[in-house]
Amino acid sequence: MEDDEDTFVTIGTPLEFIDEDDPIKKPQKELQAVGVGTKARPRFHGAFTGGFSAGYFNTVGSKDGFTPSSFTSSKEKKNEFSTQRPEDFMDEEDFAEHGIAPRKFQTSDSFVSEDRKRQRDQAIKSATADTLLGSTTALADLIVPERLTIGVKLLRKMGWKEGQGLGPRYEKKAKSGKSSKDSQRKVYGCSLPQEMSEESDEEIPENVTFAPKDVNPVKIGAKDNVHGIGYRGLDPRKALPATHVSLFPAPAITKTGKKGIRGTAFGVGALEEDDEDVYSQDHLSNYDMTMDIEEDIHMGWTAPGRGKKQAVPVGYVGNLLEGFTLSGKKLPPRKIFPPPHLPSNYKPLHTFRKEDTAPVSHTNTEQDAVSRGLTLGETPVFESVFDLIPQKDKERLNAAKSRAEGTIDVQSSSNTEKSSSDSHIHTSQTSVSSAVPAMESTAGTQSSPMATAGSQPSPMATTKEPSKLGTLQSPHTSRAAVFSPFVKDPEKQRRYDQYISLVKEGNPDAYEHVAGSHMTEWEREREMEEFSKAARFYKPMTSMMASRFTRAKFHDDEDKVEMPAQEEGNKNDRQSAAKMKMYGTLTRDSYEWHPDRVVCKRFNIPDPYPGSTITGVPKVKRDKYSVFNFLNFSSNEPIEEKSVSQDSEMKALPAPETKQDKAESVSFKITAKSHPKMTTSIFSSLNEEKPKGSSSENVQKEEEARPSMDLFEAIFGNTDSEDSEEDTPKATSNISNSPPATLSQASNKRSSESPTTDITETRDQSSNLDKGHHHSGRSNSEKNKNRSESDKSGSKERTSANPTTSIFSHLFQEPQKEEVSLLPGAPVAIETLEMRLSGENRVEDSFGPELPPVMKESAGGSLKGNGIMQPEHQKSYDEGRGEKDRHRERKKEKYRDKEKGQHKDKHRHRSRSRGDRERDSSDRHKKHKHTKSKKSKHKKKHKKEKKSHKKEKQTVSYSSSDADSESDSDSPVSNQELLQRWRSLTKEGKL
Amino acid sequence: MLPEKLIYEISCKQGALRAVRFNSDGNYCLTCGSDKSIKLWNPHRNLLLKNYQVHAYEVLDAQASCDNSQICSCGMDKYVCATDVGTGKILRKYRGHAGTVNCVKYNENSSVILSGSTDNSVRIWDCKSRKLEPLQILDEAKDSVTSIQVSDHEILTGSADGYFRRYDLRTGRMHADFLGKAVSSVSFTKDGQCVLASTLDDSIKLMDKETGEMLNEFTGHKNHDYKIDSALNCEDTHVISGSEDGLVYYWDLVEAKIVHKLNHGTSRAIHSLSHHPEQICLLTASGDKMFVWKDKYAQSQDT
Repeated sequence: MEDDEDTFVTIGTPLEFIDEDDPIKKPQKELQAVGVGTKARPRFHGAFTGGFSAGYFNTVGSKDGFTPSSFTSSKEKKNEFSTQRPEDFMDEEDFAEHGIAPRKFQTSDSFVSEDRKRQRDQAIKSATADTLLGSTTALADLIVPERLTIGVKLLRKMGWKEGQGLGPRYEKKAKSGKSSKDSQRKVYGCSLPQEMSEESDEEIPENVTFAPKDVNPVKIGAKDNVHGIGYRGLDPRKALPATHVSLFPAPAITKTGKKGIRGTAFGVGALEEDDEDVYSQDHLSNYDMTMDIEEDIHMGWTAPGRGKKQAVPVGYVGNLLEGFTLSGKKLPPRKIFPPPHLPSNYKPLHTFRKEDTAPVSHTNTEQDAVSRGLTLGETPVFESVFDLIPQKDKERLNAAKSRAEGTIDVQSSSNTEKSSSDSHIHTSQTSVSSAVPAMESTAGTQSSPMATAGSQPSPMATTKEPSKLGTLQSPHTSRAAVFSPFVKDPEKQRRYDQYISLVKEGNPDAYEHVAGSHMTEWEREREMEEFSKAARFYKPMTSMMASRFTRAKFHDDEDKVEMPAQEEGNKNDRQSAAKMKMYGTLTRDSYEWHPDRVVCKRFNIPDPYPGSTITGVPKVKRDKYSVFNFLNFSSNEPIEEKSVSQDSEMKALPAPETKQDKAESVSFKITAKSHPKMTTSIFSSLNEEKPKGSSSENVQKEEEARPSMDLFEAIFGNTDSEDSEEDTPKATSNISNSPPATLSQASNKRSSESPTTDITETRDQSSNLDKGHHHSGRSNSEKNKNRSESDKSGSKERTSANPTTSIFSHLFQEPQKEEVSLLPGAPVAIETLEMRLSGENRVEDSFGPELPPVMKESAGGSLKGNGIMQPEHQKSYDEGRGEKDRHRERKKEKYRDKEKGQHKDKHRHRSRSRGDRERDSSDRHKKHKHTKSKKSKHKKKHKKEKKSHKKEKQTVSYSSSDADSESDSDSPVSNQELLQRWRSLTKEGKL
Repeated sequence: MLPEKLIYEISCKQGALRAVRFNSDGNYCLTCGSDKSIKLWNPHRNLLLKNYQVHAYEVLDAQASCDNSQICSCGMDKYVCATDVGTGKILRKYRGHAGTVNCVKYNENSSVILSGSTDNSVRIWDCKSRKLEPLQILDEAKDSVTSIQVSDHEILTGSADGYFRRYDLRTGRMHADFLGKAVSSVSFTKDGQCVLASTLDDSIKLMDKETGEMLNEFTGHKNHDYKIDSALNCEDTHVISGSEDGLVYYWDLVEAKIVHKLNHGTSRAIHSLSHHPEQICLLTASGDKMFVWKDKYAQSQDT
């Protein structure tokens, strides 16, 4: 049918085939007709072309034929007021008719034409030499010019054609030179086909000129490998051995003038052994991977040479290698050795030698842990306490024992043995001693309980052969030798024991001394290894335990603690440097300091140690807490002598220093005058002769300066003797009764007793009987370096007007000093550690305004009268202006008067009557008065002693202000109070 | 020009004055008294503005925050308080020091309070959070901390152990410089390169911050026992210090010579002083009086 139809020509449009069944279509009304534009879609409006398809019926959405624009404008999206243009109501195809230019961008024809595309492909191809991926990449678009450059155009105008080189045309002659050169070249192997044969063949007319050859354009090659930049493959001519005959002419190597690294690979890795050609493109397919003859699959059975295959002998299995033939000779038969001849009595059953099996076979009846362990060669877990004693101590013990008894083990052990195990089977002495070897080494008779225990499993022990056990080392060898890993070889075991003992002694090449001369080098080496292994494994229990614990850094009762070296290192230097005002590196310490994370945040500074878990200065080690940490006892520290003028202008305030400075600050009160002899050590004061003050005045001073006993007690821990007053008589008897015992025994006693004895001593000064005791006690303390003791005695001696200082002398001499109140409204005096050390936090004293002496008298009078205590801060801070001297004095005394100060406060609060106070202050007070009375004398004379000097100063000032009430505070501090205060202080951790 | 004219001698009526401090812009000042009160003044007009009762014992130091909205104060009651300036109510009360708190300072943006105490520690308290625990405790000092200064990235403390310590937050290091004697007052120079430290051996030392070397020493005044303030004037040309002989000494910073003394007509120590941050105006405190000094051409405004 189709074919038929094709032959006909149809003219006109065929009528529509009308199907009778279809419902008859209603003729379209004109209003409903939809205008269809060129693009076969309903026309928009047709308003401009008379389409009239818009409107009410054919509406775009409304009666008016268009969607009314809605107006929305919001803060985020401002409505743009766009004026409506005619284009908005037109179809696109109508634009042209009405002269409205299209506003859309499109590529012009010249760019989309097929012709151009072809040209361009070609250009790209030539430019990139097919190296770029694809020819239509964006890269190509960038590189290849879109149209002919002006240069090309100009060249063309000048007669240049593509494919030609630039430059003047030349005659043929020039070219022939090259070909002649070619002909001269030696050619190995088969000669190449003649180059440019057509050229040479051709006859060239004279007048024909040739254009120069075109220069190759720059080739842009995409890098599609992973070699380094500039890498070129290995030149085969260089890589192959020089003898190799080159079959091919050298490829033209384009020489680029650039420098840099190029050529073959840059080198080989450090691990490569040879300078292999890493990058050469070798391929596994170049090699035969198999040894067998390849079946030539490609050729099939008709492959050449296949037919020539040798005839394989009938019984022969396997392929014949090509080029080989089967030999006709037979191989000589392999020699066969017959199996060994079994003896007739051979039984295929292994019996162990008797010795080995014996213990095992016999002792499975009753065994306890110890015996089993022994059998198995273990170290007994413990046999006696003495096993835990280190070897050294054991030896010492043994030595002592041997000294005492003469002979050691054999006798005693046999004795114990007999005594303990009478009921048992008779055991030879040696067996027992070896069964419980450690016992003898340590114990002797003392270890008998364990010895009996050890001999309990005697059945086992007895079965051991004496000869064998005898190989075990004597008791004096180390315990490690007790279990003998090499029991089977007595000689070896002996060597091993020797080895162990040598190792114990710390011999580095222990084995060398042990090794038998008959052994070969190899044997020796092996054995050494064995020994060292065994020694490592079979460690005695004690050492195993020891490895679990570390030794304490210091003893608990040790009172000297090592301070961090960093802290203390150049303290002296620093001190002296500061003195010489050489500030700088000497006086500077720099520490790493980790600020808290939040602090950094608050300061708006990045954390210098991000991720650090610590804050503050990283601490090496926390010191052991002790009062002594704050006091320096190092005897080599030179006590500094303050340059103090002779009169009262003493340095009042020592620099409150750290621990190191303590010593200095302690000694600061020493005037040159009063100390003709400066001692370098605190303890050297002990050696000094106590000046014997025969006068009662001296005695009283001494007593005055004596530190409160309770302080001693508080510090040195004896809380037993509460009531010092009651103790004194006893103490005197103590002293007379108890001669100084040997120090080792007496030290404890002394520490508890000495305070009281000291007191009595000073009390009973007039009687020189005690002197002897005193001195002997002192010499004891000299010998003994027990610190606390020496301190005590030191302080004791200092009290007797000894110019040398001791640590506590400063602290403890305070109480009898006058308290000087601060000026009211006075600035805050700096409270230093020293002050706090000296007894209490005397907040009120240093800060609260107090009554000046003058005021005090009046106020004090009223006080005394009505017994009402005024709040301190309400007291007038208006002090007499002419109190300068007092001021000065206060400076001097302030820091020494801590305890007194507190004490005084308490007193004041108690607001006792003067009479009471006077009763309280008793003899001390009297003595104070005494010194006061002597004041004028002293003044005229030289102040020979520091303390008296100070006292005098004080009294002077007070007499001027007539502050007798102040001196009330001199009444002795109640011991309990002081003690409590001290404790609370230490509890607070102030010290 | 030096403040050499006594403009006002204000009797503060709060017991012994412990400290006098300008606020950050120098328009007002705070005085801390031994009667537990802090008073806010306009020293230029001799006006008492407000009285704050926040402490339970003597107030030893106070400082106004950078925005003048708060006052931090410390005292012998071991508390550090942050007080609202307007209402006088305690905003925060930091407890933690084991002893008298000697000195207190805000940091530059008043986000933390630093307080130094006789318990040998400096504690850093957070003002931003509700936390009442110190953010950090600087317990390197071995004796009472007498003075604190804070710069934008450094904390400077002077201690009675003879050291002044500089904590550098940027580098994370702490430098401790030993001066031999108890340090009673420390301050930065305006350029932040040097540290002025008073020691209890009658001397003030100008120390190089980086190397710890002494650049200058100022002597002639008396300072043996007390925590006596020293300061630099607003242009870093002079060093000012109180003294225990009732004078205020002025040294030339470079020459280290005493160029002027302010006689307060008292023999008591001039222990606290504060220099106006910009103008030539000095506040000193002695006994219960505050003294306002200005240059010689200034007029007292209420006459």
